[in-house]
Order: sequence, then structure tokens, then C-alpha cells
Amino acid sequence: MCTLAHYLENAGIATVVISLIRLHSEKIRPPRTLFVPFELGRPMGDPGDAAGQRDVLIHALSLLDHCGPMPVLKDYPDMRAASEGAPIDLPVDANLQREFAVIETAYNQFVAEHGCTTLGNSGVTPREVVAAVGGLLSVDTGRKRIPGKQVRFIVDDLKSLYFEAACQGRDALTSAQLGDWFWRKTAAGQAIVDLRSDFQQSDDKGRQKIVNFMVPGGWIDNLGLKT
Amino acid sequence: MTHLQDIPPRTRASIENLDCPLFETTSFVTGPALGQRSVAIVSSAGIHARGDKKFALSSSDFRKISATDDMLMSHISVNYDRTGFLQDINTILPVDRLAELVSDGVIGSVAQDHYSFMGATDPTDMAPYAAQVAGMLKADQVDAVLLVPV
Repeated sequence: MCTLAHYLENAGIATVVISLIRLHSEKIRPPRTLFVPFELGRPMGDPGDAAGQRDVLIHALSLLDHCGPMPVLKDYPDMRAASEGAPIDLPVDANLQREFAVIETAYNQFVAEHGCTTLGNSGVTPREVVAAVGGLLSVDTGRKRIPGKQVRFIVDDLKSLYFEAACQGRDALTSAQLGDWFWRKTAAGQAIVDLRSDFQQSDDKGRQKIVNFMVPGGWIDNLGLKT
Repeated sequence: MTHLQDIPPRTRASIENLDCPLFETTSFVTGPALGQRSVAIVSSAGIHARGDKKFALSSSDFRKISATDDMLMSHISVNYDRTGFLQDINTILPVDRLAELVSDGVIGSVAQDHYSFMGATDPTDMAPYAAQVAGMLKADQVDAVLLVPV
């Protein structure tokens, strides 16, 4: 973002960067930066916190009127108390297919309520996503050959399916809560871990290539997975 | 809530060791007061309209997006939270908040089109695409860009 700010400003357009990594902004020195002390992936703050998002936005855009020394790097005040949402009590099951039966209902409710879903990069339905992961792990189906590139999207969609189901009817869930539930408790999380382990040993270059794009680095450490 | 020391060690190390492009000078473009500006967002979240071309490893190009798009994210990295995005697009692309600022007279207007790159790419490879985006922003009479990472 900081580099793009230089390119756009050089082309004649005023910019303001929201920065999640202060170190990078200090090095690259874009013209105007607001550093926000939020989690990676949440540059505007928490989902559903319209007042907080608005405040961040006003702090950032106000830098366009800044007339002091440049470049300007301001820190957004970190005033928010950490809070957790309701516990995620969706039933889980050691069997992925059985677990999906419960997850599917909550997922469908989420989509109906929100009017949209972030699932869709694989181009297949939620049921087919789960079936594809099951098939990839099954010795009986010969660990079906789906190209690595497509597996990446199937894995992303499986996560979206579960996270949207978990968010149904529960506000203010933190990513830590969601991650803990998904990676430690669900058959889907375990399936991705197993798939990753399979791919680490695969002779298929396409599959080796996506090993690093299946489980977040923090969870590789938390779960003690092989790197 | 999150500073470098709060980021998991594996991700933190790659952030700390990342080669950043250095610029000897920094341009500063002036413009009208905030209340008269037309604002667009450029995101690095690897988002795009459903059905548009997905981002692949090392993609340095961009997708044009609009506030009304049914949005997907095909960013290659898994080392950041995506659960904020799936609950509320404004967590990464504050389009509703910008519209409210227009209604309240804080900014002049919001551009029809916004743009997304995918951040896990060498940003110097994005230079020619950034020039294209700059051309489209100018054609749309945008005079302020909010750059939002993920």
C-alpha cells in the first residue's frame, strides 16, 4: 500500500494510507499514513462496529488537510477494550459429512440473513466442497487428482462455509475464537490439516506449491504441525 | 490491539525481514478541502466481483470493483484474518462508511469504481498497473485515494 501511494501520488493523485505494519510505513515513507493497531485482516477495525470504522476513516481522511511537515505518519489511538462474543456452540462431529449436516443449516441461515456469501472461489456448492475434501482424503477414491490450484480454493471455501455458519446469530466473535473452534474442534479443520500433511509428501508440484496456503502460520505453531 | 509483537512469530519474521522499496523523495499532491473531494478506495485485499478473474500466486495486476459487487476474496495468503470480511465488507472496504460521510458533508463524493490489488506480491511489479489505475481515477475525476491494506 505504501509503495502504491508513491506511485499514485507521483501520478498526481493525493493519497492516504491506512497502515497495519508501522515498520513498513516508516521505511517506505508514503506521504500520509494513519497507523492502526488492529489485527491483520481488519484494517478498519471490528466487523459491525460502524462508529469505530467511521472514526478510523475520519482520522485517515483528515490527513488530506494536513499542512504540517511531510511525510506524515499518525497513530490511531488504541482505545478499544478486547471483548469476546458468545461461545460457539455449534455441534461438531469426528465425521466431516455428519458435521456438515449441522453446519449447512447454520450456513444457509447466514446467507439468507446477510444476502451474500464469501464462499465461491472454487465454483462448486458447499456440499460439493465438503465432498471434494472427503474425496481428497479418501484412500478408496484413490485420493482423487484435483489440481493444487483448485484445492486451494476448495480449502478457502471450506473455511468460509464454517466461519459463516459459526457467525450466524453470534455477534462480535473474535478471529481467535473462530480459529480456536475451527482448528481445534471441527472435523473440517482436521481435514485441512490432514490434507496439508498429505500434500507435504506429495510428488505433485502443484500440490506442494499450496502447502503454505492452507493453514495460517499461527495455527501451524499452535497445533505443532510439521513445517 | 495488534502491534508487531502480537503477530504470530512465523508471520512476524516474514514481515520484519521483508525487503521494502525505498524512495529518495516523496511527492505531495495538494487539492481541495476534504468536503469537496471525490474519494476512491484502493485495496490490497485481493477482492473482486464474483465471476471476475481470481488472483493467483504473484498476481501484480488489479481488479475494478464497485460498492454493489457481490465480492469474493482470492488472496493467496492465509496469514491474516478473513472472518471480519465475511461478516462485514466495511472491515476491509469501508464503502458504506464513505457513503455516510458524503451524506454528512464530510467529503464531497465517492467514486463509482474502486480497485483491488493482491498485497502478497512485490509492489514494484505493480508500477505499470498503478499507472493504469491512476489514469482511470483521473478520468473519474477522483482527487483522493484511500489505500487500505489487509
